[in-house]
This record gives sequence, C-alpha cells and structure tokens, in this order.
Amino acid sequence: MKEAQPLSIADDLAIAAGIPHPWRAIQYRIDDVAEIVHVWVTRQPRPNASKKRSWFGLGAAQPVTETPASGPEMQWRHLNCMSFSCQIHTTDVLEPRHFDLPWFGQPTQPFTNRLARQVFACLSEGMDMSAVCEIFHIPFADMWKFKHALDNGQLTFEYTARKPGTPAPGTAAALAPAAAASDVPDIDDPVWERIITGALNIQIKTLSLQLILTKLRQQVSLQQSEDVKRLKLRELHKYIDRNQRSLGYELGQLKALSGTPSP
Amino acid sequence: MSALQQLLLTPDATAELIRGGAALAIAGDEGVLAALPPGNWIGGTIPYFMGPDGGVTTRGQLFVTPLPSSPGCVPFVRPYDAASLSQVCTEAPANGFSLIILPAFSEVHLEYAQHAPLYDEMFMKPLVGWVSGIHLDDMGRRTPKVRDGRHGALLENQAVVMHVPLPAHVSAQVSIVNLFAQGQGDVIEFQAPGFEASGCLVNGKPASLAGYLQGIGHDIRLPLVADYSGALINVSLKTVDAKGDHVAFYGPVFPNVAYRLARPFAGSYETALEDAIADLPEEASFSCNCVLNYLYCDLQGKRTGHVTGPMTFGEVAYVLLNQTLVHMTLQTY
Repeated sequence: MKEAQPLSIADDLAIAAGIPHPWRAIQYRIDDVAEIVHVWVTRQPRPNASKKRSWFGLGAAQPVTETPASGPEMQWRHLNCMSFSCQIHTTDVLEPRHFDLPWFGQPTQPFTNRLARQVFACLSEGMDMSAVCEIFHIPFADMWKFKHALDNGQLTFEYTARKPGTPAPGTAAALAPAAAASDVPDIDDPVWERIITGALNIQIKTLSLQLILTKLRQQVSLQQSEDVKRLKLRELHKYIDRNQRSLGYELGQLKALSGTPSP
Repeated sequence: MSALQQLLLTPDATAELIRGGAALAIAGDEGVLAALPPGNWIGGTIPYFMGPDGGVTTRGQLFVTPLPSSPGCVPFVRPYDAASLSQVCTEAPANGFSLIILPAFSEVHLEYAQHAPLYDEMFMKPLVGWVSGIHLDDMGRRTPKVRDGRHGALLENQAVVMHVPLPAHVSAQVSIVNLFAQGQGDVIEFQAPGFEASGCLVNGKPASLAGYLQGIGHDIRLPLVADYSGALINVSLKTVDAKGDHVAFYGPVFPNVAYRLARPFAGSYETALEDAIADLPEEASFSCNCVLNYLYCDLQGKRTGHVTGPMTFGEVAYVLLNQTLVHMTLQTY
C-alpha cells in the first residue's frame, strides 16, 4: 500500500472524478492490493488563497468564510477509475444540500449520487443485481443496502427506460413529439468537425450557441487531440439537438452545408 | 404563452401577489424586501429601476417579475452556496428556464463569475438573472443581499434560483443588447483569469495595461469587449492605477480571449438603446440592465424604450455580464 500523496495528481484525480471548483482534492492514496483509489475532498481554500476581492470599490478585502474541516470522516464509493474502484472521502462539515452533490452520497448510503444514479439505471433496465455488482465491482452487501433504501422510498431517482429508436428525455425531439424528423445533421457528418475547429463559420443569432461554440472551439484549440475534438463535438451536437426548435436560422445553414467534407 | 407583465409595485401590492400564490422574482431595497411575507419567490436588493415612466431610484417600491406557472409546471426555489453552485444547470428543468440572483461582492458571486462557463449543462438550458446591490449612499454600511422567499432571512453569501419548468410547446429565448462594439484599436489579451491585471499582451507584445490605458487617454466608462462568435461581451473597467501598475475590473477577464476597447456609441444611451431594442418583443418575461449604464448615462427619469427592469450590479445571460441589457421572452411552438 502506498503512502498518502499530496496535491498535483490528487488535483487530476478530482478533475477525472468530476469534482469542480471550489471543491478540490487534498490527498489521495492508492491501495494496489485492494485496487482502490482513495481521494479526500474539501472545499477549504488553498492556504495561499485566503482573501476575497472587494468589488465596486466597496469595503475592504475580507477573509473567505471557512468551515473548518473538522467533521467526522465520511466516504462513498464513486465511479470506477480504470481498473481500480474509487472511494471519495471528506472531513468537511457538510450542509444538507451538499449531500446531493454528484461526488458525495446520502449520509447512510454506500454510493456517491453519480454512481447511485448509474446503478439505478441498470436496475431499471432489468439487470440482475449480481450483474450490476460484477460490472461496477460493487460488494453485494452494499448493493443490498442501496436496494433496501430504494425499496423503502429512502432514495428516489428519475429514470425513464428507453425503447430503441425513441428520443432521449429532454431532447427537442422528445419535447415535440409531433415534430417532423430531426433537422440536425448526424453526429458523423463532417460539418460538425468543420464548425468546431473553426474551419467553417455560419451566422449565429442565438446567444447560447454563440457562447457554447466559443467555449468549445477554445477547448479544442488548446488540446488538439482527436479524443478532445470528438468529446466537444458530441457536446455541440447534444446542444443543437436539444435546442433545435430555437435554432431554425442556424440549422438551415448547417443543413445546407452538411455532407460537405473539409477542403 | 404570453408574458406576464413586469411591474413596479408598492410593498402591499407585492405582498398581495405573494399571498395569492404567485411565483415571483422581486427586486427592491433591503427594507421593503425584508418585510415581504413568505411565499414562492426569490428576491435581491437593489433600489435602481427602469420603470414604465423611466429610470427611478426608490427605496419604497419593488420591481416584480411574475413567473409562469401551470399544472405540472410549477416554479421551484433552490438556494446555492459556492460549494453547490456548479449544479445550477443540472438541476434546472429539461424544458424551462432558470432565474438566478447573486449578492454582489460575495464568494458565490466570484465563483459564478469565474467558473460558470464550465458548469455541467451550462448553455444547454436558458439561464438569466442579475447581481443584487445597494444604494450608493449605503456604501460601507450595508451589503447586497438576496432572499429565498420561503424563508425570512436575507442572505449575503448564497445565490437564489427560481427554476421554471415550461409546457412542452413553450421555450425561453434569451438575448442581450450591448451598445458597445469593439473599436478598431489594439488587441488586448490576458495570460491569467481574474478581476485584476497588471500585465497584458497588446497586439501580442507584453505591456502594462494601466500604462497602456493611461498612454492612450482611455475613458474608463468604455469597457473591454470580446467577440464570442458574434456575441459582444463586456468587461467593465473599475479603476486604472498607472502609478501602481494595476487595473481592476467589474467582471473577470479570461486568457485566450481577444479583447478590444469599446468605441463610443453615437448619441445618447437612451436613444441608441431605443433603436437597438426596436426588434425585441415588447413583452419581456424578464429583463434587466446594468447600474453602470444607469449612472454613466444618467438615466434617472429617462425611458429606454419599452424595456424595463432592475438596474443591477451585474447581469446574467448564462454568463456574468457588465453594461449589458438582458432580455428573455417565451416562444410558443
């Protein structure tokens, strides 16, 4: 078993675990016998970031309000980290709303909310508990505890099982069942790569598209890998699919340009 | 779905709406906001408004934005602190919009300003709002606050959000009106994010920002402007200290963004704005404008076309904005 390690890699693990600012990892430990990555999470500011700014020239700078990390250690099983499982720990004193954050779990439950949601989706699709345990490397006792809480109404999730060919919940297609077939070019259409790399520009009137496209282009330009490009392209496609009712002006241009490969 | 009319009301009329069960977003001075009865509403402190008769500063009235409610689509309030704010879009309804109010100068305001573009589901669902403030006479004596209308306490370091689900055939459209456009001058870039800067790149060459601004005799009422695929986003200048080599902003600057100083707009703000909003629908479901526009353009008693709303310490149309009018309408399909 390795000694607990400070920072840097812990920061990267927090990013991979989907833990955003102001939360951060302060420590991690890799148990290579049990094949578990342990990550300790806090929202305490870093020691050198103890002042907050004053705006509009009002008032002097004040210390950031800190909650001492003096609570009992709590931990939940999170999504797996490659071949290892992942355990999230915190000693922060959590407020009730913090137990709903995806990377934490309910106080008496074994799983983080993010893992619990995935386990629930598998169960909703009719998978056996033993199969779910196998896929997620979950101890059966933890699964029973989770299932017991579900059955007794202590946990509630929303999940709608989808039949093949039906639109995903929340998409524009699902919201407008009477609408015609989707106007959004297929995810594999070359127009998306040309848009996201900036090789192609269209006229955009919709504010949210202007903002998300700028963000995604910036991210793609800073990390020029196929994986990043593909990930961001999917995010853009999801946005357009979801908001297609409001994007008639932009979609008309995309459709006219779809199927055209990069010159 | 037609918009419910935004109104400047007395405290009694506002209380009556609350007791009637309406879902509301309310702007008002601390005294009147604190005295309102509990209900399904959110509020923030500000005494500056653009009313139907023009700009007005009042501690006695409230600007009330009624929010649509129908069977199965009932607006609900969620408070967020800096630790949970990143979930604001994931908790928003799949079809609907969210209205956020953040107290100025707070940790939660800073968190939102710097990290909102990276939040899960950001830009996927409509999000508008504003930053609460104070009467300028109260500087140093009071702080900006918000209120979760279900409870009595005014909050200094939490954001309050009204998540508003909409029927499947209705969606919200968010737009902004920014009278400032990028000038023809130099490109200014920053190597780190923040509300303050000393160094920057001017046309790719390292420079002191304060020295540069002083050297060209820049009017600090004109913001830095970035072009986000056609959306012009301002960062307003708060102070320029050439001696101390320090510039402070009202919103954060970001690296990898090309800024230019704004060029002045022709004529008066109210006339230019009236022209710019001519194409906007008259009935906004939500609108707000910036207190800097109110102050710099001396809007007290002047009308800015048909658009009304609180004049705030920051505007939200997905991201935090400065010196910008935010406007949201509901469209029926």
